[in-house]
Amino acid sequence: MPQREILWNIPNWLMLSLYAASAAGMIWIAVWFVRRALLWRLGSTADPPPEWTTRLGRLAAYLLTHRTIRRDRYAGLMHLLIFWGFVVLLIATTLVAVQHHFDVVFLTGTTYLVFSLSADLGGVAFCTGLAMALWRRRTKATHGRLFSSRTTVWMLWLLMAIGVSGFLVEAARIAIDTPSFEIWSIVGFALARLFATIGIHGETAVTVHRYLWGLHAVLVIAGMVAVPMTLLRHVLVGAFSVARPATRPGTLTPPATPILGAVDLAHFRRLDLLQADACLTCGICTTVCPAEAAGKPLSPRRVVLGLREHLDRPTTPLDEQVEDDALWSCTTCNACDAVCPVDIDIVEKIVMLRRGRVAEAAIPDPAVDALESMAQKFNPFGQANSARMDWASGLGVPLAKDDEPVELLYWIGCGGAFDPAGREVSRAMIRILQFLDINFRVLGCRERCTGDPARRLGEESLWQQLAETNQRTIAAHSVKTILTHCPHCFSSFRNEYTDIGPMPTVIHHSQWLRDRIEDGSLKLETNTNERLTFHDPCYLARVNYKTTAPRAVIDGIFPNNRVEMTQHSQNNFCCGGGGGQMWLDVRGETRVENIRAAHVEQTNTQTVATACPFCRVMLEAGRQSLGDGQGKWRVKDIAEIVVENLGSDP
Amino acid sequence: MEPNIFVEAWNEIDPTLNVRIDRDTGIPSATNGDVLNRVSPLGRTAMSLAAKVPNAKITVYATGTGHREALQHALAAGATRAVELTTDADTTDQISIASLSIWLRDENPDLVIAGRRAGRLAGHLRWSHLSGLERVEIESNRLRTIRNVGRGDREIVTARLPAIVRLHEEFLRPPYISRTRIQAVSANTIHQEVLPEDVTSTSIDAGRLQPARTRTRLGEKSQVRSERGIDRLGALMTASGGNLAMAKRSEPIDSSPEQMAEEFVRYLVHHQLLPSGDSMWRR
Repeated sequence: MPQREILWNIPNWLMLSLYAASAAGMIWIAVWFVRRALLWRLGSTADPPPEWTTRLGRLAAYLLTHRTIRRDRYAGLMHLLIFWGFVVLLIATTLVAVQHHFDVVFLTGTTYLVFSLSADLGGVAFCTGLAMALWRRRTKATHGRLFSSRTTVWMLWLLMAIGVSGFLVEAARIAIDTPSFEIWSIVGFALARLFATIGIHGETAVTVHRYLWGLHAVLVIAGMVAVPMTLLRHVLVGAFSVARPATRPGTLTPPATPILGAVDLAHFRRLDLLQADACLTCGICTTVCPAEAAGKPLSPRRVVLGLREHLDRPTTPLDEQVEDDALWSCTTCNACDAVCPVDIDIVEKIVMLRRGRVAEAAIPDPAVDALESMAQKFNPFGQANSARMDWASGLGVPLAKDDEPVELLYWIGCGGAFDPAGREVSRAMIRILQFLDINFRVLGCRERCTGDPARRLGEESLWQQLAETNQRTIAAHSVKTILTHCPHCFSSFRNEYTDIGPMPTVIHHSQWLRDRIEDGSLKLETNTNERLTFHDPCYLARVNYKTTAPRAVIDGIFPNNRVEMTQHSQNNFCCGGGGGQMWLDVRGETRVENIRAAHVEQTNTQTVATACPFCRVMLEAGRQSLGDGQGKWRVKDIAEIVVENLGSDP
Repeated sequence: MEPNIFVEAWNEIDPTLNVRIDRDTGIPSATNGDVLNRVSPLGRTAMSLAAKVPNAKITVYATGTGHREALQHALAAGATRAVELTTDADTTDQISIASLSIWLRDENPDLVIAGRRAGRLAGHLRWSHLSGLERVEIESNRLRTIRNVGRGDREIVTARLPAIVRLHEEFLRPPYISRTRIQAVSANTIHQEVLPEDVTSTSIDAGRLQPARTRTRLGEKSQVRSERGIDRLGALMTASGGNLAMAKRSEPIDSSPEQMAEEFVRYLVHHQLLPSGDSMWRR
């Protein structure tokens, strides 16, 4: 019957040495983990209480699907092979240990054959994944976004040596008498045949097996020692990061204590500090960062590693780890958060650092103007609040009376009220609402900025003040549904105002327009002559996963004439206007909006549609930056496009 | 040295708004959700400059009620004490220069950074006075400042303490004070002091007159040496001082008419061309 004797060739002293060294290795890892955990505990306790079943479920789902890592196909396949290969080998080793130490013989017959084949396939996967990793790091040219780290390369070679030595141990064992059933150990059997050809069989193989087993054990112990010292730490720490409770996308956690000066470790969440250690330094966050693409000084990876360096050397001020221009370059588009393989909340950390800068009054002048204006005039555009309804002159826009219950509240937003391009969108929406004879109201001058730019610029208390006022106003009108064309307002109401008080249903105008088209109340003329593309606003597509509604509206007018840009839907590229960047201008090689305009140019369309007043402004700015003969397309909000194609009858 | 610095803070009507004045009462008001008053940027800047003086003990004061927001702003910016000054008459926000002078003299500050009344206060107290400043430092018991003399020209001016100064209005940006900081000081005590309304100038001790200050774009020390008042007036009119001023006479002085008038009167008093009777300063 196919089976094998376990640890038959290993003297007791060697086996005991292995166990002792393993224990020491485990203690080494545990000591490192405890020491780091004590540092993580310097953070605030804003994290929700652990729900271990939920966390384990999240971790298991993540590991099964590799959902985030798969975005990079090469890295995804590589990690999948390494991870699952390692898991299979770990299970195989555990089964062997159980059989040996608990005297339960179950690896016999067919079970043994399946076990042998599986273990070998796991080993093959493990080594193949490692070979892919080493291949990627072979030259500086192929590093791409990766750091050129000798330590990481040595670590990969160490793992490879563990895998290969495992096969050699197996081969030496089989080479002693070469039983035919061991052909199921496909790699070991082939290597055993090779051993035989060079004279390693019988007693020679016994001696070789013993030495190889010792070498394999030493390498495994070395691997354990390497865990805290290398990227392998992500196996421990990354798991905690991935398994953390789910948060609403694009939301920010308020600081546990008021920030009155430079931020330190105590202001960060424990999760933030843990995530600093979980970073793989893979740099995928940096490759998707629009600020980085524009040559601005922001590298999301650098922010996380700066926090890690501060953990390592707390005497170095955190301010020195991340330069101001880097912080103020972030558009808070959440692209980095979306692609991080260990789910690090990078934007959260950037905003936390911004909060410290705001408390220290170390803010760029344009941001000061925007914040002052939001505090004094309740909008970031520096205009008087009383001018909030100037755009609506002569349109007969119905204002909500004091405490009047409102079925549908059309929330204009500051962009729609003050920016010339945004006002066009507001007028278009009013035209549609009146065309369909919808019973709606606007708040007029009682509307205030939702505080989204203030919060993302790091002025948490101002956001809180504005949000509380707006929430009270909305509650006073018993609003049933809020309709808004601004994704930032939409996201604030939907995801963040709910922390302040009960909020009515919030709907973005793209969803509302789609619904009107689908229920037949909004009949539009079709246009088959015009090709157009759609730019996804970050706070609509990436943060709130709304990608189909605006496309449905466009497809209702331009059937089969929509062209997608290379980066679209949740994988979109920011317009450069979020996170307060509408009012900031950190110098870079180019501007984010210019890059996006070039993307539009590549589609060879006549129109780029969007669904955000800020995106509309930024895309127009980018269009104007294009060279001669380029930029012969127009930027329109989907509401404006709908108005252009309204039928004669509602 | 721990300089004792006093900073004036005040709220003012936001000049960017459309303000309505009630015909009957003359009270200004804003409409449609506008906030009528704002914390004066000049006072905020003064506070930020004072906070940069090492080891300074900063007292922020406001004359009259209705300036609490400004005082809280200053506390959040680093002031150690806030004082709201009112009068026993309780009829107006305006406190007479004489009352304020007495209070300041009793508080014994090293430096006062004040608003529009800085020159008049200095005249009353016979303390050093400088205006149009962009930076304030205290070195070895002397005030060292950088003042803007227009068209981007700057000069370094030193003065003996105590001094009452006023900052340049146009080029200084007040730093942003986060709402969190303002909220954090909201519970701090704002001291209230009631000043006597009816005070005459005789109650103020005249200090020693300061020598004429450098007022040239060239940064030269004043060339005025003449004892004759008319010569000193001539030097003042040239805004330069002495012979060097003659070549610069055609250059306009970058000051508002009000500022020019204020400084003109102050210098007349300073050079004993006008009497310094308190009645002149009373509204």
